[in-house]
Amino acid sequence: MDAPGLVGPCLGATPFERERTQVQTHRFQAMGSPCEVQVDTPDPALGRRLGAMAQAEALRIEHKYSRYRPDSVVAAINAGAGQPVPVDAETASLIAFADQCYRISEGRFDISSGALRRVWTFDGSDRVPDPAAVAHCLLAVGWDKAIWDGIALTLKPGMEIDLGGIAKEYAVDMALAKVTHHHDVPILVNFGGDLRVSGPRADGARWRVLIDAIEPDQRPAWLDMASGAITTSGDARRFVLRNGVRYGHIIDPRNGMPVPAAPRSITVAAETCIEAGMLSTLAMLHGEQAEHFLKTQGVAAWVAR
Amino acid sequence: MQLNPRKLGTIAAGLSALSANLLSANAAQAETVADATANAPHAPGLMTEGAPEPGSFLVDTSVLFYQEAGGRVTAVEPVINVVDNLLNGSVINGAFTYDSLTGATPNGATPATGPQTFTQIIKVATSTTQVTSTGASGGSTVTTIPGTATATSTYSTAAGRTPLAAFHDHRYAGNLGFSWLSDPDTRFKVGAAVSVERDYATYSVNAGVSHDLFQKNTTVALSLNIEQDESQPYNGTPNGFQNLNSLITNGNDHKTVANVVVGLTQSLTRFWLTQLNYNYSTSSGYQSDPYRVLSVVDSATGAALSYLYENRPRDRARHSVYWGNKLTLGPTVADVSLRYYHDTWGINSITAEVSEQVPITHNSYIKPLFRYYHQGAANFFRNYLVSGATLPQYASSDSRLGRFNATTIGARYGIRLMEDSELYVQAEDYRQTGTHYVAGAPGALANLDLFSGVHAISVMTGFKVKM
Amino acid sequence: MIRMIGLALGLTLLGGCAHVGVRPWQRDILARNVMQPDADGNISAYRDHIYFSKEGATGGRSADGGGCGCN
Repeated sequence: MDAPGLVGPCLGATPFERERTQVQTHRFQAMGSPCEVQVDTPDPALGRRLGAMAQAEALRIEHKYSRYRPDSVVAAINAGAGQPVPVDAETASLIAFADQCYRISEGRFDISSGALRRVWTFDGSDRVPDPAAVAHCLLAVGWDKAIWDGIALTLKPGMEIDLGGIAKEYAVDMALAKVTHHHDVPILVNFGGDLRVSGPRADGARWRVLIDAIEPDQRPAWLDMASGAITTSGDARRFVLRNGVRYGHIIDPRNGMPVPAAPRSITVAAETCIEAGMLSTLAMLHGEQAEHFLKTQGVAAWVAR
Repeated sequence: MQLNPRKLGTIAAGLSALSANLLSANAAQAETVADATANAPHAPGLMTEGAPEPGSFLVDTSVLFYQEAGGRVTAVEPVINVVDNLLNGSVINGAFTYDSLTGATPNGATPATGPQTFTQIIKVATSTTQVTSTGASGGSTVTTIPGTATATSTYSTAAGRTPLAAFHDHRYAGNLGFSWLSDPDTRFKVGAAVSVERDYATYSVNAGVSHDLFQKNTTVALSLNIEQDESQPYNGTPNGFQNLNSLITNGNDHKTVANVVVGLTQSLTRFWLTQLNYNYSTSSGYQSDPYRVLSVVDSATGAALSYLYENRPRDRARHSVYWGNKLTLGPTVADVSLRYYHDTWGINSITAEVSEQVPITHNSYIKPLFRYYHQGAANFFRNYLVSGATLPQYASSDSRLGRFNATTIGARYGIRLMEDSELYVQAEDYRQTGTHYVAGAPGALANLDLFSGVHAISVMTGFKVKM
Repeated sequence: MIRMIGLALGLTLLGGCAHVGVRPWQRDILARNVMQPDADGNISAYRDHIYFSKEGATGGRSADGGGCGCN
């Protein structure tokens, strides 16, 4: 379940089947992740129709915000070469959101930090980049170097933004909103482990969600959800090990270095996916202080070290 | 619903609000954007499409045909209404209305056992001009009085019939409004309206502010409207209780109305929007009907001896409380409202209305509706005045100030013929019921129908399009 | 480490308590055109005008004027 940006451990959302109601599951691939939509209805046609609706929304957002697509909005912004690039209302709201997250995280969350990925390759090897290369890279990193006036975004030449850190969670929320706009049937939307439910199941029961083991020796855990969202940050498989120090793949954009002592994974529950995702990312960026951060912020979370 | 019983830290609370704002802004937006490009089966139905989004331009053109039973008022009223929703959230709207009114309206006199002739003295431009009709009393016979600038105008009513005065008028009305967001939760609005008839003009300005609270679940609103009316009766403004058959010497008169509404709109659930308004309005100035009289009847026989122009107080304060609800019930939408009204003229009224909009197909619906209205009489309402009795301070026989009930039964049908448009037609049957025979009325009047309430059919047809 | 139980408890509370109103992402139905208080457009203006000219009571729904001489 590897996706660009932050990925969670395999979070398989499997409702606990007790042969009570049939759930229609619609699966597809989007945003580099396996995605599924579970519709709590015995009607397969309705399940397909609503599943297709959620899929269309996922693909729309992927198409619009993928930095890999030359025709995406993100590609257009990154191609701005120092010139202001006006953006549409939806993109403006996402950039404004990211801008606010940059501020309240005191620079820890930064959509312009994507360039650092080029110097850090997290393949389990011991390759740690030259500090000079990191310093050079940091010249083109830093949201404070961008000019955002609410309508147009101006990046410094060489700077890039990446909305991968929020697009998948945003897609879950939007797909859910879209489906529930059309139909009242309970649904669960799970895009690559970031998931949200529309409410309790049709019979009033909770959705039973399986969180896969992060380490082979850990047992999977069940979660019962009546509403809200769950996201996970961290990936035990992506790290650099050097001199016994395990550098996780979360990079602090303020110094270009992986966050020391970051947990392997943080699972957060919140009301929306985008909120949960941002909380788990921010907690991860607090490294050693992740649990303290979650506790002082009053967040329901599960941390694996 | 709060995520956690513990108090959220400032960062978590901030993220919660930011996330909520981001999604509320885009969820409704994406609905229309994405659906416009999606294939037809997934496009929202006529009843599930979103409210007009910023950047849309709406035109609603319609015409009303209104017909009262018994050869009373006929009206044809075309309206064009445009709304421009700007991308920055501002809204510009404008409407233009033309109204053609013909027919006859009760002149306020009681019916009689024999035919009645109503004679009034009117001014004419020159003594030699032969006026064949006037707007206020079309169909009447006008005879100039030689050597004077006056004429007599007469018209008659058959025995046992409610006396009606014929009229014909045009009305032109327009309004313009502008509203804007001063911050994402606060909207200000200003507007102006003009309505001009041949014998009446009204000018008004309005301003208001509304503010969203609690993640837009609650909206509080305050709006004010100031109106100045100019009454320009064809033959001048009669004094209160002036005899019909006498020359009116007063010219125009006017009225000022101030209106304030305090409103609270609350989303109670995903399916239920409720609205509570308190409305206070005060009007001062000329509020009588310059064409309306009362019969002065003989206390024994009930026969009309003379006709006096009505006389209403120059001040009136109105209070009303309105409670409206929009409820989505499965695929249908119910609209349920109640209004209680009281004014210083002594009228108390209650209005209840219910409608249910039901989809027929993806692109059409039907909306049956029922309305009940009841009002008590104003404290100066009189069907007639009795000769020899002390003249009251005020009196009017206008059925609109009397006690009556009214019911409306109607239905609307709407269909989407092409994308982003709706053709609709609404028909209503409106019937006022009240006391027809007044026990204890003098002489023959006890056996005459004194109720002049209306029975009307209206048909409203229009076409809405979003661009 | 925050225990699993804590998370389950938190989630239980997600669906647990009453709240007047809806969350922003639950505005789907309320955002429909048919749920807007002013959804009737020209028809409500016609009806207000008819009732204003035939009944003693008026007002309540909005403060906007633009009446006529039919009082």
